[in-house]
Amino acid sequence: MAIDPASPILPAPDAGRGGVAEPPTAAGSDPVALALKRMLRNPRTLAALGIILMMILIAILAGVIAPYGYKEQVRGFELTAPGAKFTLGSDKLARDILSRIMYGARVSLTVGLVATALSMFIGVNVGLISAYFGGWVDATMMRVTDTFSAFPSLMLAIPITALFDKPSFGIVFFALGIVGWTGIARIVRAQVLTVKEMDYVTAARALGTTNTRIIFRHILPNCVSPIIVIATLSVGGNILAEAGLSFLGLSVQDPFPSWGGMLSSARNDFHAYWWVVVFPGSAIVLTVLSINLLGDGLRDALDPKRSALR
Amino acid sequence: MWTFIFRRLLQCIPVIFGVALIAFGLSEASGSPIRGMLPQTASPELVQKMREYYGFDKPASERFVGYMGRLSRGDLGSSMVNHGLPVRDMIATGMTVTMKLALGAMIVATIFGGVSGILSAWRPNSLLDYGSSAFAAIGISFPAFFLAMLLMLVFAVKLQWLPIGGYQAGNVRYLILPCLSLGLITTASIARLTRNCLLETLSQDYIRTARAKGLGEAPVLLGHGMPNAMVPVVTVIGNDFASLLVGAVLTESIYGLPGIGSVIYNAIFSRDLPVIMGCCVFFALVFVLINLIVDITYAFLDPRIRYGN
Repeated sequence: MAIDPASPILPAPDAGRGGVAEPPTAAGSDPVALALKRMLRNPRTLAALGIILMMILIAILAGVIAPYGYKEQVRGFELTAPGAKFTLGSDKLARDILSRIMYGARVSLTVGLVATALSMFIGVNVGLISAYFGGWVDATMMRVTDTFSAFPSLMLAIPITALFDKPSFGIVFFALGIVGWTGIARIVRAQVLTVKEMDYVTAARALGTTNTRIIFRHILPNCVSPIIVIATLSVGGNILAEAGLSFLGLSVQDPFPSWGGMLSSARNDFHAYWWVVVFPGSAIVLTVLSINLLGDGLRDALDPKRSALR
Repeated sequence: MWTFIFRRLLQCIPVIFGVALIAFGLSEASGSPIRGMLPQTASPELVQKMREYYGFDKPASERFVGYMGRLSRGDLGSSMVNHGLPVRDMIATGMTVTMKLALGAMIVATIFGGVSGILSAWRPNSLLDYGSSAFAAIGISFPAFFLAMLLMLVFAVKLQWLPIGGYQAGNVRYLILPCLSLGLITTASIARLTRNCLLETLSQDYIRTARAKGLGEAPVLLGHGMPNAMVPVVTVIGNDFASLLVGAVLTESIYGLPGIGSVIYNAIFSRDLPVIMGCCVFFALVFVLINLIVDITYAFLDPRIRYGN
């Protein structure tokens, strides 16, 4: 998913005309700890973090806390409205929607995390190598990056997953991972291009340090902040993309629930029975929104200059 | 300017080549179409003859050249399901609907996004600003197809103001809800970018000068601020247009619009791989073209880019 690093979703609390940067406190203390402190002072980020942790807990404990099994059918209770029997109603196969949402969290969160990890791995490596070595290596790798980003998001994931008769977890990870790495590659490349001109890198090179060591010990640690922010935001993007793929029937297959798949299989019933789409859809929105807010909070916290600029 | 355009055009060549290479790889991976063309009982000799006839016995490099040749003539293969209908024709028919949808959505997004962005930048940190920022945050977290379903529930099922789905050429009523659901999603990114760019522009000295000479808020915002703030917004509008096309794939089938989205949706369900591949390649090429146009517009608006490097 394409994420524009330059445009945060919400304004920082002190954004706008006359916004003033926080003065640096306690010179010499750990900048990461400071950033975390700043982040946790923001109630919006805190709330987002709380919701994400809750979703993760639900996903892990689905087998324990879900009132029904994900494929358990209660005959005679097809499309029952939310109420005492089913908190969030039941679908056309008389399955409990709340339980299916809980199990569906497993799909969304796992795909979000694993696909992001894969695209970060590819993107960071491509960006680092490209910028560090420059020349024809850079030119070639950037053309490859251009090519992959020429496919508008799902338009590459759709044909890849469509190759398989029964798309599974692994295929979705691969398809989304291979699609989403271009943004991070460009950002890491830009970052490395600046960092590698710094005096301490020249110093390290003069001391005879190997390329690998310079890249991983001296350059990469200075690119960590943007990587963390983009990674967070792209988890949200991948959850949305997975929902889109499930909606097209190109992700995990029924009876195993995914949020997008629940919307898809309800497409013929939702006109008369609103709960079959409203709750799974809200689960997607709530999760992605929280992840995006957390990403914004991280961005503001890791780079105080940004919130001062705007 | 012409050197810039020329240089930018040259940059497209490797990308188009790369797109074709990926597309070729995907269609190779989807298996030889011969199997699908012949009955299960076909003799090995017949299969061999067909392979030779269609050139599948040739090495991959040679077939890639052939693929490039067909691609350059706009031949994207033909459907395995619809009596061998050329994919190109299916795209052409679908695009007439999808273009209307995408343009309508773009208009919705630009109007809503622009207005809410300007209002937020005019009074930053006001209730209005927070409201529109919250709207933007929710907007980018919304799957287009979910919003489509919600709008349908409210406006077509509950209020019965608009048709529940389907399409009649020339009847705008069928396009209102699809355009709204796609447009509102895109509104979010345009709104927050307009806000941020305009805020940055408003902190410039020449804006202070304009205010100091006693100019009203409206001329300052719209006359002095907007033209400069618009430059980055143009790029995003180009990108958004591409994501609108993708969103169309997910929403068209809900509203029963016979656009490219429905073509892809149906192709996925009938496992009609040539159609899926063809449409995706088509989208990639459209995206390359849109980026080209955006970059040229960008250079046109901002001379620094034209003369840079």
